[in-house]
Amino acid sequence: MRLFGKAGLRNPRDIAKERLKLMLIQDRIQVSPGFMEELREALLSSLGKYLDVDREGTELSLEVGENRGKLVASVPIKSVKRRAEHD
Amino acid sequence: MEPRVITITSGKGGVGKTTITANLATALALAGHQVVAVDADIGLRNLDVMMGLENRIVYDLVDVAEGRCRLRQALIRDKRLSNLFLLPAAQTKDKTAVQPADMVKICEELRSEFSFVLVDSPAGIEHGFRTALAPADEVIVVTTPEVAAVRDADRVIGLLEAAGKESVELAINRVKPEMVERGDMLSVEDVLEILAIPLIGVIPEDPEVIVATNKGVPVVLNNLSPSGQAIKDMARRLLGEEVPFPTLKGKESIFNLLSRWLRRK
Repeated sequence: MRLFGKAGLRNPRDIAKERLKLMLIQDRIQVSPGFMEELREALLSSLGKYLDVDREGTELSLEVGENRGKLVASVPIKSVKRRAEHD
Repeated sequence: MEPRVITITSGKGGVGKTTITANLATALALAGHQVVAVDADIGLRNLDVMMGLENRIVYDLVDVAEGRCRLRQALIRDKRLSNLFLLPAAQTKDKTAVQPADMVKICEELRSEFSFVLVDSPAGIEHGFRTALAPADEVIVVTTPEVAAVRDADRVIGLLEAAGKESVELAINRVKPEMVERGDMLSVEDVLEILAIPLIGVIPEDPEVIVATNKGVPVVLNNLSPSGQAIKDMARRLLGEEVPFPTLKGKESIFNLLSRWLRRK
């Protein structure tokens, strides 16, 4: 009986779901060649609207830790574009 | 109605592909359609055993592909239903004995005589899988609510998308509602959320399947079996009927009863 168990402890169903989600993050990226390159391009082109960035110095990686996947981007900024000011 | 070639596949072995193929074929035949079940698992044939036809095999799929017999000679008529046939796999050859092009050609020929051609794919994602997939208009991916099976199903779905298969549907087998209720097993909703493809069937865990397999009588012929009923529902959905998915509720835990009672207060 789980009268008190629901609050903090994760049950096997939740653990299974979380593990699967993490596995699939890695699987889906590994099996699709060009995914990271495409993502890098998409990221740089939208950042380009706001920043002048060093494309060659940009590093993008995927880290899958204990309970979540994380996209880590290191984007050296050369300058920030001037934008119209609003009040 | 256009003849339909439907391949049943899974990635992971042992999730119930062959059982579902045999039963789906039987259910479609019970509904009055001309059906043939093709065993594409060359070297490890099982579909004949599920259908209780293992003693009647003379020629097999490899004999047809290699021209040792005509297609018609290899087809085995079911014992009970005169509109249901089996094209058995070879037990002695290896998986590369039939090429994707052979399978396409054989299924083209079957289309002229049958309204449903169900192809039972081998496990894995290699040659045999690609061969079984080649002729398919539609694909049913079978999984169970287990981490490894769902992971492999995801991989297969990715390959099917890459191969340009547009109709890909999911069957979730061996669901244990009581375990889901207790938080011990992935639910149908969990699996759907992760795999994100349309659902065609939800089949509960059912000991009757073992009994049926032992007897060589597909479980859909047992009117009292819950899994048999679920596969009949699946067949009706394939035929275009809107059949609701029964909410698979197990015995309620005291916690659930109590919390519902408290919420009502």
